[in-house]
Amino acid sequence: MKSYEILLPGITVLPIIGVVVLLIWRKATKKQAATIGILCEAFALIIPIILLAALRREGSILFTLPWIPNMQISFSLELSWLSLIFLLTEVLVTLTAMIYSLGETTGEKYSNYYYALLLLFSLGMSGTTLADDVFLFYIFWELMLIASVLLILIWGHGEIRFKVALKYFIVTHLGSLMVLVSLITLYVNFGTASLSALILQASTLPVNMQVFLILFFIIGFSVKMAIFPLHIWLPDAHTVAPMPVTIILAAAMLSMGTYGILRFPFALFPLESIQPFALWMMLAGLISEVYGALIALAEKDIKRIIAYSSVSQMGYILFGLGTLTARGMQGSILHVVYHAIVKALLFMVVGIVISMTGERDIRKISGLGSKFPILCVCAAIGVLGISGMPPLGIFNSEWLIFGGGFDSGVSIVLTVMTLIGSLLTVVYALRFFGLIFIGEPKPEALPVKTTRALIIPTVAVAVFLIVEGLAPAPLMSWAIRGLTSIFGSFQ
Amino acid sequence: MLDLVNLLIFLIFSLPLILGILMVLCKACYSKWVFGIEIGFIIAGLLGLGLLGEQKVVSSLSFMGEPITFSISTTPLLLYLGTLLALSALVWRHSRVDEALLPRYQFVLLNLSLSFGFIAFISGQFMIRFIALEIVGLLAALTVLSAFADSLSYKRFVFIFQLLRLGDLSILTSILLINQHAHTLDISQMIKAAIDLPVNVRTWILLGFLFALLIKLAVWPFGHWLQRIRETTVGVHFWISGFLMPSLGYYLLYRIIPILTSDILFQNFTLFLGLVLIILILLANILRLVKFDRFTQMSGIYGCFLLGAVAFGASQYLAYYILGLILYRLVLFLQAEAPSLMSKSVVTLMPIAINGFFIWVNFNHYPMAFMAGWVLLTGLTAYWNVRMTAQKFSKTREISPTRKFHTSNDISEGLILKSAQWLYQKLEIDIFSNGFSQLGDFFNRIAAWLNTNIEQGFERLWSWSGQKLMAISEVTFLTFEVDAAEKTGALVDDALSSLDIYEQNILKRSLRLDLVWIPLLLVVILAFLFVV
Repeated sequence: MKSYEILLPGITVLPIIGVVVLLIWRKATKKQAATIGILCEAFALIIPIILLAALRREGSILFTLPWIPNMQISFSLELSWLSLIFLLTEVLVTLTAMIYSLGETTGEKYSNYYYALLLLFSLGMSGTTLADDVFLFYIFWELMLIASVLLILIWGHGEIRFKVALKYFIVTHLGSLMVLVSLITLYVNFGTASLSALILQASTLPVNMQVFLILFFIIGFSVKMAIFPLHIWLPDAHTVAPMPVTIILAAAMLSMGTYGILRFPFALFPLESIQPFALWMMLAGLISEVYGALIALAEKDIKRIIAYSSVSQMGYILFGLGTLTARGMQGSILHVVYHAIVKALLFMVVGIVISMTGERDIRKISGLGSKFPILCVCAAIGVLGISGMPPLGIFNSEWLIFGGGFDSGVSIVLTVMTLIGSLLTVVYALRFFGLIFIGEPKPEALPVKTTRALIIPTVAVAVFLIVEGLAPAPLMSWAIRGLTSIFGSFQ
Repeated sequence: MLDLVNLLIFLIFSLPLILGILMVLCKACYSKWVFGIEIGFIIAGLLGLGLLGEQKVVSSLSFMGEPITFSISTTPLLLYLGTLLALSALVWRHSRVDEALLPRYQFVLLNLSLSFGFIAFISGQFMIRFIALEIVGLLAALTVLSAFADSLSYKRFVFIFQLLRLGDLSILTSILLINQHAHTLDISQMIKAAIDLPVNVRTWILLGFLFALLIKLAVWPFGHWLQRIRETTVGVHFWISGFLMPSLGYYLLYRIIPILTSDILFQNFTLFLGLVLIILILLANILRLVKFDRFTQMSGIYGCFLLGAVAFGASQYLAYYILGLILYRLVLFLQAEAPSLMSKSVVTLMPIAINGFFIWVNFNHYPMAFMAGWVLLTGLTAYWNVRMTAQKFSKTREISPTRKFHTSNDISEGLILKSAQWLYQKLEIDIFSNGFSQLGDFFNRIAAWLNTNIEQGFERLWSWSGQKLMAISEVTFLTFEVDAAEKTGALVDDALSSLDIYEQNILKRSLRLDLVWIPLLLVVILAFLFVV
């Protein structure tokens, strides 16, 4: 084992240490609990950055410990270029949400449990992206769900949270079960849980079995992506969850579905087997894009507007994946990252608006632009970002996705429709911005200043969005390497 | 030599950008003198670039894995110079009447558009050019915003931005379609590759570009965005939408000429489109169907003339013709804004001179029928131009999207009037003017319908499923748990009470000692058997 390989489990161990400390230290104040959480996440963020040089040299870093040898199950983690992108996105989003939550009232009570659960939520996502063993993957996958359900259940808004948490659990768990069935089928057929080993063997399965597994994987992961009509858990969960949890749900957890599709059906089976699903994925993506945008246009609750916008944005990602082209998939991977940044920014803005006005009904809020110019600029950057305005990041990913659509050989009309459909994003985003920030200030009794603890991370994310848009090269090269690791010399 | 070119490009791009940023941060930089010097410097820089000759500059920067290149040639430099001359004239004119010249916010927009407008002209990479075009479009739309409290100006901004973005998306479609086959973003190579594409793909590409051009040039029926800006902006910042945007559109048209002429069908279509649009604009004008101001109308008409001019390929002096069109815009603008500065005869004669010059220098290049049509249409537009001058048809004719139909007195009653009325109501007001708003309303209605019927339908389905599941669960629980438990309990109780009763009955009976003999007898029998 090489020295740097020992660092890899640190990404999962650090949050566990944080959780243990928080569970023991029951009297920790919110600030103390947050400090522990933030430190653990910050160190978990540093580790992959340290490993970057080794990753560049080796192509992937593997850490394996025997776990249940009789069943060929091991504690196996792998850092690849693909997992790196998702891992960094997830850890950064969690870190930002933890910092943002310092300015929020959520988690004032039972702070230690709150941050412990946030760490567990993050651990679930980190583990999901790193796991090279299907059982380990599924454990982390469910940990992610359980931690988020508990966060909604305990710190969610209103009595409705019990129902919402149950709905979120049941619907996403149904998707997870489809994934589980597929994983078990693979395990039973090949007698190993190692993902690397399965990648080498899965293509030997009978074609009808492959089709069945691909279908189950795609539907299962699409539930997590909240693709129409599997999105029914998302609006309520995003609305009821406390804002930091909403940020993580929207900006990081949704991307796990994309990762799952890339890591399982796309990596396990030959493209010829996935080809029959390509058109359906593109169609589902288009419908989700248009549907989410239209509902966001009709919605009155500002939190739900941004939630539905996620349904729409996930549509782009699925469309890009469905193209089965290098450009389309590269665009989808980039879109995951850019969407995470934009969505985090927009939810942070919404959080500040709600905390200042006490309102969520967009009809009862207006003219905040003149009162809070910095917040207005951040919102404008977010709105232009989600509209795909260059040089902000989503422009880069969108045109790659559309380019992939044209490359796919499927009718030009479908891609043109997706492209023109993106105009709907501009419509709802500008409506959202206009109603909140333009016009006579409403409600009249507004605080003079915004909370600094809320506005600083918001500005930081807005700046990060601009920087990411202006310098997309590293991310693009990572995405290409990630795809190459899955598809070889795939073009 | 190349370093000097790089330096000049860098300075022309970064100077307005930095000044724009400084104007936001530092009030002292916000001065018309600074702006005047800046324009002077940019013009000098452009002249310097022109003197250094045509060349392709490959920068050290890259976009999407391809180096960012700049293509320095006469045409873009000339056109940008033309637009800068127009800007200088606007600044000069406004500095005479208004000391403040522009609000700081507008100054910033102007500076940013100077930077990105330059990049849009000289970029050798299509995607960078597209990005610059999009940013200029956004800046043009932003010029109508006045204050945070002004919801109306924001609505105007939304309308303009959405329409311009629609145009940009259609350019993007064309770029991506070419890129799919060309595997490069270099404009020259992409245009070359586009010519060899199958005709169906080329048709999409051409339609994408033409649609975007009609929007960018504000040709009827897509002139509403320019008209709305015209209604609200009168200052120097109108330059972005009134001069820079159309110039970029002209140059885009100039670059795609090889695609336009790659098929006789495309040539005919472009020519036909230009012709039909000129006739429609003139007819609409004659019948008073269109209430655009003169600037928007005449700009649209000469945009269509350009479509006709390029339909037969890049001819001699086309760049100068386009330059003439840009300067004609300036004349139109000055005539409307400051009639004392610009004689009516210049406004009337200039387009005749421009069109006449073009047909004269290309006498052998075009078919005779085309030239005859060109002359005829030039004459017709000139005639209506004179009429408009006589009627003082200027920007005072403000329109509102909610305006009601009214007829003019100078059109005779009869079939033409009725047709005109019908056309005016249906086409101009219902479709082109209110159409976009209605389209928005339509989408809103669809969204509301989806929200009520589908999204809440999901909610209802979820609640229904939940209730049914709960009911099933309750029935199951009652049947298999509660009822069974009750029955079992009752059975056990019965059994226990029966046992009790049995025991009590037994206990009530007297002990029968005679039965003791039975086991004793059995013992005797066993002993007997053992002995035997």
